[in-house]
Amino acid sequence: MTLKHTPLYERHVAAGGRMVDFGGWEMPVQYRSPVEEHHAVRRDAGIFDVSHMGRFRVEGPQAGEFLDSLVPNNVLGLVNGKLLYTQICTPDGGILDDLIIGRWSATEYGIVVNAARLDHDREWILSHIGAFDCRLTDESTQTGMIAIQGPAALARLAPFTTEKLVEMKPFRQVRTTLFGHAVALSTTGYTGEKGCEVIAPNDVIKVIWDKLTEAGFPPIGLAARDSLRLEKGFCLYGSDIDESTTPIEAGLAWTVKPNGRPFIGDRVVLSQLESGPSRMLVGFILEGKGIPRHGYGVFAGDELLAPATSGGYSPTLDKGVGMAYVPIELAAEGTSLAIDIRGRRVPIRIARRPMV
Amino acid sequence: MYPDELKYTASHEWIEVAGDEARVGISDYAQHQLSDIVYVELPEVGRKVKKGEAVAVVESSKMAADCYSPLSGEIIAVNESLEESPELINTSPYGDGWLFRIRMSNPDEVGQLLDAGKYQSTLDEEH
Repeated sequence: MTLKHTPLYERHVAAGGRMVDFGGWEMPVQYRSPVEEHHAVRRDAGIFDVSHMGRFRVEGPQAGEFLDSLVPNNVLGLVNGKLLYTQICTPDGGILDDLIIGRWSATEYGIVVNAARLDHDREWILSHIGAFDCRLTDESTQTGMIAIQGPAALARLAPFTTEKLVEMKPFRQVRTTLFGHAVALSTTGYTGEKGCEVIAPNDVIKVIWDKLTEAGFPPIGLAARDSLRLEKGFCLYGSDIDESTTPIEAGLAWTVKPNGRPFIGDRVVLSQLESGPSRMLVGFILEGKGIPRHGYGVFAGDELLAPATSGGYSPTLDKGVGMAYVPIELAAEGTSLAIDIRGRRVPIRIARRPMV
Repeated sequence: MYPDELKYTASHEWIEVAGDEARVGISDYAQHQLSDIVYVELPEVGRKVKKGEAVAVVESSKMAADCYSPLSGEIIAVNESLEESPELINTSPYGDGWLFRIRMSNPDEVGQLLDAGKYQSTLDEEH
């Protein structure tokens, strides 16, 4: 199988990025030490190529009603220039993907979905349009996307745009210029830091990457992207959430905003929202030495509860951290459990998400 | 990168032989592939091991990697400073970042180890 390349592939190679197969995409796992890259984003700023993610546009008089019928969050509650985080679900409430929807106008919405779910999501969304008066355009291959993240990101970017970036609140989007080029800019990201994500046509995104590099933003690879999101307790599709988990179980009840209209999966999701789930995705911090990894068993005494859905090293805490689904009665912050690390039981403490 | 006075394995351990004892670590290539090493699990002193047996785990921020004993024998010392400072493997893979010392039970096995030139060519074949 030929690996897919983003428009920025040549730049990653030239910058010394270590390229790996990431779900069929040849992407940089790191340019230098992943821990240094992680700290750069927590303490200052860095840039990520996220062009492998899927970008759709839904347009038409009923675009809002249509999207609202697909997801548990309140798309009809969006005003122009605002975005929301949500999921698409099966009729049983299982998560098919998590995604971001942004409203440009009453007749135009943008959607960003996970790279590995791009084809699935496009077909799934198309198959549900039915009589809704709207159409979907997949802009993934014509455009690229860069995330600019970190406490210093917006201030350092501000001189290069006419938009008052520093004043932008999270989950807002604008069409503006960056380095003189037209872009779509949203104050979103996957690091838990301030910052934004920029979408532009492929030839423009290359120029913007070069300008960002010249402006001193270091490129950040997938390894740091994962440790940054894990410390913040953000779900990774395919690991922490999938078809066998619901938004409520995943701790995403804050994104379920019933507005009186039906949505796919509403029976299960709303019932769990009301009566509470029987298990919950929690964060945990290792109390002993070692690094928890995806799949390691989480135990209460001798009872195996579930495999950890995510695990790794937290550079901020200098400790192992992870996430797992545990019975609701064991989900309280501070609960002591254990994780099996190659036959050794290491104590863990349930922690509030985000863990840092 | 690959000192001539050391021996190597295709699984990226290095071995410094002195009499019937040997000091073992992971190669510069291995530490570079792993990147930031954040945790090391070392064998117990006194453990008898066979050549090729998994005896240590070196974990980076990205992954956990098994380290295999390149020789049969008894573990006679481990590098305890790695418990507090696992990053020594990154900064000094052939020096302060050594993993363990072993007393060989079958010194003939040394003949099966790779010299620096052969190790370098196995790396070239991998890429």
